[in-house]
Amino acid sequence: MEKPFAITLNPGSSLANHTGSWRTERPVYVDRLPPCNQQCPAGEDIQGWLFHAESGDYETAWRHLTRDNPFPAIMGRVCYHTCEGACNRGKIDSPVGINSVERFLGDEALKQGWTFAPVSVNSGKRVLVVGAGPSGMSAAYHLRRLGHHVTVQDAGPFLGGMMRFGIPKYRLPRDVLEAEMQRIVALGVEVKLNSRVDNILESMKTGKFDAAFLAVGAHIGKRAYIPAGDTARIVDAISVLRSMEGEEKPMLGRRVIVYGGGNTAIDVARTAKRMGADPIIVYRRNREKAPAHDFEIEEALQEGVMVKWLSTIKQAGESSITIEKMVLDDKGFPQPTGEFETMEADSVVLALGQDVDLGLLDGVPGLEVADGVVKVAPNMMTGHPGIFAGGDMVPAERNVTVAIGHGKKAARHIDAWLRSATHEAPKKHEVATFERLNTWYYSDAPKTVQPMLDIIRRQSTFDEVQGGLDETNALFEARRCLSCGNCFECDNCYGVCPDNAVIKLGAGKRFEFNYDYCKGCGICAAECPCGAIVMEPEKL
Amino acid sequence: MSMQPVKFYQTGTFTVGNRLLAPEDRSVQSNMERTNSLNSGHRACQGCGEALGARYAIDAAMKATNRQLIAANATGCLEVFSTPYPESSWQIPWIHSLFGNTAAVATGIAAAIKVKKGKGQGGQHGDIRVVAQGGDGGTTDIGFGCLSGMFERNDDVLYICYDNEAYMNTGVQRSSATPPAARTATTMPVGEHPGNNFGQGKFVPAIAMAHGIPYVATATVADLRDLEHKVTKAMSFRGARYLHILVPCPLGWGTASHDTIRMARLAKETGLFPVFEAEYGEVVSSLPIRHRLPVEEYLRPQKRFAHLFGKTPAVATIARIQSMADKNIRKYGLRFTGGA
Amino acid sequence: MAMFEVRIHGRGGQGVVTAAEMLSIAAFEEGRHAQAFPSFGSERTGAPVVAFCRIADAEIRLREPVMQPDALIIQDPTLLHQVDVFAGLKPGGYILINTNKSFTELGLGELIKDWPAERLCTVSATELGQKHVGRPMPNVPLLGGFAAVSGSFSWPRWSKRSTQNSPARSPAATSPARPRPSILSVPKWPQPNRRPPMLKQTEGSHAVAEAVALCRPEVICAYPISPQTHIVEGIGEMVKSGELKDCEFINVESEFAAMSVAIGSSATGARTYTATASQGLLFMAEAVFNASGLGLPIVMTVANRAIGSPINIWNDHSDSLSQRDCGWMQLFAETNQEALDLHIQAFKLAEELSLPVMVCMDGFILTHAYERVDMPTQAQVDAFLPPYVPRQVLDPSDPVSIGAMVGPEAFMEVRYLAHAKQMQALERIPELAAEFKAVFGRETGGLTHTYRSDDAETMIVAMGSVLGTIKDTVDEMRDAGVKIGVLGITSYRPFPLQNVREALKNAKRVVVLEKSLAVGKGGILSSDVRMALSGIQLHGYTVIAGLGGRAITKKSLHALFAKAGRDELEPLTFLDLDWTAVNKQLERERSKRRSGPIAENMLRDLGTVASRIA
Repeated sequence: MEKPFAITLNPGSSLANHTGSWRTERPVYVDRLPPCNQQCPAGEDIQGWLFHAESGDYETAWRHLTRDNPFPAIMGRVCYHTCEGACNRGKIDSPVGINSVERFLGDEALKQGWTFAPVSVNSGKRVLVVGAGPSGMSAAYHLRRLGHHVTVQDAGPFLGGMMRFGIPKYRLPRDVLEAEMQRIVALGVEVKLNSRVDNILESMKTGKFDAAFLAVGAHIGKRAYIPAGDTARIVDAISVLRSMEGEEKPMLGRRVIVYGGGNTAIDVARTAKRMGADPIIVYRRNREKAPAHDFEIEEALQEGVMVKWLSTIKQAGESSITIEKMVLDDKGFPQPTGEFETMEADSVVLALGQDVDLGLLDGVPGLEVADGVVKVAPNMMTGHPGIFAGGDMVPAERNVTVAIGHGKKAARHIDAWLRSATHEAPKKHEVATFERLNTWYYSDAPKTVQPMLDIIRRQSTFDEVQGGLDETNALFEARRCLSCGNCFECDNCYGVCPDNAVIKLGAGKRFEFNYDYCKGCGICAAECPCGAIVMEPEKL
Repeated sequence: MSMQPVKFYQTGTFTVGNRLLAPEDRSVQSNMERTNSLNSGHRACQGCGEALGARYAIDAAMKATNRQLIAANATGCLEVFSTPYPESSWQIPWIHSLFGNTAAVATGIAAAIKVKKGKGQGGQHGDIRVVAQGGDGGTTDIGFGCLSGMFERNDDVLYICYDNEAYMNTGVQRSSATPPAARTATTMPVGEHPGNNFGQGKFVPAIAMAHGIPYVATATVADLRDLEHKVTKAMSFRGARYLHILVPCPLGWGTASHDTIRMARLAKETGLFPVFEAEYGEVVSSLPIRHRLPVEEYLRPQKRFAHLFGKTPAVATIARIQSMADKNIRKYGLRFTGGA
Repeated sequence: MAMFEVRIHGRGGQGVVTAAEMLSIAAFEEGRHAQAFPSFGSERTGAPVVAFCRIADAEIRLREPVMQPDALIIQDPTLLHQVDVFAGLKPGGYILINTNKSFTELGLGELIKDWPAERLCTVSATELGQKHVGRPMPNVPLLGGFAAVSGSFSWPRWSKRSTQNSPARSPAATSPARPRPSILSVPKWPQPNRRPPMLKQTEGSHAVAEAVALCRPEVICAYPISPQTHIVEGIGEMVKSGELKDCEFINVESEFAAMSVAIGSSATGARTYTATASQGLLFMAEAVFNASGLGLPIVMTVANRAIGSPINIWNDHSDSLSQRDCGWMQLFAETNQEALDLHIQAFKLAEELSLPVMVCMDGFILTHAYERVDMPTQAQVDAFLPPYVPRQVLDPSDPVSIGAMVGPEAFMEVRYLAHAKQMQALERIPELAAEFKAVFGRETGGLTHTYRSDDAETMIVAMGSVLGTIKDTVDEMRDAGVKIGVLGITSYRPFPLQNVREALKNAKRVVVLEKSLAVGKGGILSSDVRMALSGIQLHGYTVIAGLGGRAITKKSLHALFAKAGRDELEPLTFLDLDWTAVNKQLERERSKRRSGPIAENMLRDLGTVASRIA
């Protein structure tokens, strides 16, 4: 076409005009740390695996999850999922049921028989793991995957440690526990059960281990002095729970007094209830101050467990106990009132905490013990080079998830140590706080669905018989994830740019900015639902 | 327990794209092959809502017509920033004639296409269709006569008005689409009644409906999927069609350049800008408000309304604007009614 | 040249104008030249109306109203004492009156004293009309009466069956038969061997409509404005009936829209036509400039008409001359034949240069005049005018952006290029006229035409239909030995400076007679002519004539040219200006601050309605 001069122009010729020079701020893609991930003691990339679950690719989701935590079926049952408390979605409607999706993935893996990829590297190094509980098995898993030869030694007859002896079956069916343990064994981890380590240095020497990870659980119930008659039946909670695993069930009678306010107290009370007893928890402070998770207290109450708040046991007799009512002082500490009450009691179960048997550490040079736990450096190594520790043995909150996290962390440091290197954890991204999000873009859970979801979430957490989420529900739940701080390829930036200055790289490859044309208006950052774009001043 | 199947897609259709949707259900804008009808290098201000709206609309029209599209463009920002000699940002056959004649130019194009088609000289890949586009000044004011004529004759033209509520190209003067109380260069916030007068309003979509034309719709740049749906639907009709898109202007409204979409969203969520569609003069659907907000939420971030929020807030004026929003909500049924 | 002039008086709704047209057709059917035209009023039903018909044995160039009729037909006797219907009637001329009464009973006894009785006739035409067509339509019965009375004409198709049941009061009168509608359709030459097949007696507007249709336009858009209406009505009907195929006719809502639609369709590669006049041209002015700026080869007829206020629907050149710098070419037609031909040339010119063309024809004087035209055949037009191949086009398979914003860095160049195109047109227009002649056998178009200019000492310069009256006047003056000639300008834009200079350089004086006024300065065309004569010493006179439809009569021209020949003319003259009225108003304004509206004051002074005969 013979185009008239100046009046008629070639199509798209404005590409010659690089409007990027107008910019005073430039958008930059970032990954932020989702609050769930930040919260997870096991260091799971929750947003990361939910991303795959959202598209129904459960195997990839499971594989992504198990990069950090090899026990999703267990976690999905026993983890206290503090991640959900941190979940930004909670500020919109209610948190994503991360735990239930995790359980779904774990169960799906067991159902489908998914196994871990075989280990193809061999470092030639040998590591001894003491204790087949969550921390030890977690460490074993990670160390094995890093190519090391791992031997797990445990004093008990089963894999699982405190998960088996401290958690009731109704919360963690043993087949699930066993299956996830065996999957690690299948990776080529050597296991020695009924094989107590009495002296760590000796065991290492004998077994020619290059390093050791100590992960002995807190199996010893703490005792408290209660004036008691000879006939009073006083037992510790952990013994009760452990005996549930054996043939011989504990004889507690009908009126069982559980003394304590922690999760173990709840577990034992609910166990007793299931054994046909009428358990009463006696706790010196009130419900708000109780260390047990409130939802567990709630579930216990729903199941018919009675609680005497603000009470201490002053004396235990053959068929009764005397309790004293307490009041909380200004600082929240319980103070005696001098008011007493007598209650019928066939037995008293003390749930006042547990200790670790540290006998195996005697005489290890450099290793320091304080307050019943082993001191470790930030890399989880004890004062003795090559000996690392985690789980109940080190100062930290004691729960399965924390223990699993310790296992992973220790494994990485042990691996580095074995290579005479140091493991530098990648710098944590800035947290994707709620304010960073543009929550407009997330779908509202339809009103007709919301109540059902609630039911499902509750099912997943307390009633094993009823099972977990089915696939539809799991998918639904996964899709409630806001993908905080991490691009989930919603194409918003690509679409909302008035200057077409965002280049879409294709599925899974995310986007790039075309700074030739980006004028720096910031719409992409403002309209990014998950806060994965920041505006940075141009350096002029 | 039986679970009813739920279509719940994380961001649903609120975001531009959604990897969880089937490819055919995805937006035009999410497509790597979108036409970018208005290409990079144009000279619109940072955060220009009109540039965005135009690409949204024309890309969708290009898809709907299998890229057999011609556009006529009124004088105004869109024209000036897209085609200053020697560069054009348009990737489609495009003509700019005058400020007030775009609908008529489009009529002429449509007539020519019809004749050519009759002679077997139509588009190579299907019928060629015509879009006319202009700002609110070029549509509701100076181009209104031609627009009404085009409607009345039911010419086969989709007219798209990019409404940024004033004459932005000439430096933010009042148009008949300028809202009451808004500051413009010709309605300064001084005197007894600061800002634009409370007139009777001139809501061209309603006037278009009064012509009984096949399709009339409103949209905003904050609801891309809705906008694309409407362009696509408009292209399924023959005859005169009208699409009125709210496109916030950071310069004229006194808002941050990154707030363009947010402002459009607020306009819709407060009810001040009703989003609906009508066929043959009757409203057939409206986009319900998702999270209803008081108009203040929309007014406050805009410097053109800053005088309403001075030391003594103009409570009566704000209330009057609120009543306009309330009326829209009643009139167009914008209240969210729930449901899956 | 023998010429017979008829003036018909009646009232709106009585078919006065139709009567004149039918008369002209009848004359044409006999192989004569005829010209019929109305007095061009805005009158509605019942208002006094005048129409004229000239019949001659050679081409009629005269465009003045019939001042001295050979025959008068009075369709409504109530006008007798209301309007000076007998003004200028030649002694012994024919008088036909629609009445049941006698001349004496009508109070005309004094007038017809000594009048030849065979030239007086009354017909009960209203009754006849009522009786035969059920409507009180007196025109056809009167024409029948006229045919019978005049005798000098034979009316083979009307009168043969009309001698029965005659209620005629005059002994010579015969009653016409039932009106024959076929008279309005294409007339048949009574002696087919003599008549070229495409000759027809038709209205200028219809001739142009047909010519435009022959050009195979693809999009036509129009908004009605007098006196352009008949053109677009004609084409519209052809499109609607299917006679004109592959064409869209769009009734737009304004002239602004009309030109805008034209811009859109032309840019999309369609051959596009529209027509307008006067206020309409001004209303579309912005788009007019735009069309030429975009280089779109639109052809538009301008039925030249004055511009208000005061509102005036009659002819002058103010409208198209107001757009002289809009970038369009402007070709002025002298006759309906030329108007027709120029349209065919205009499409070719416009499309070759990719520049729009206005074909200007005098409103009413040409648009509403019935006269003989030679209508080309489709084959001829096709041979002359190739299909439109656009220079730029909106096409999805090869997209472009048309209508860019051009800044100071290139705007001058764009404007220069537009000028350069018009300079090319200066060469192309004469070539096209030659090509046209090769196909159609007629001299039409070109840049300028001279008439009897050899050795002329006085040259009259003018544009449009007034050239005919001027030429008649010049002929008479030449006969009297005056060395006077004429330069007619066909191409006003581009303005042929060189041709004008060549044509005028040897004259002693130049009189530019123009139907336009540059208020505050004088002439518009005069300025152009003056530029062409730069450096040449001669007497130059500007005559403003015919504004707002003021008749330009041979009588006035004689006086004017004689005065010019004596070099007694003022440099700026307003032809036939009513100084009494003007001075009265000037006096009023001097004495009274609030002197009132000028136009209304003047009309009051003149004691007249707007439509005088002359």
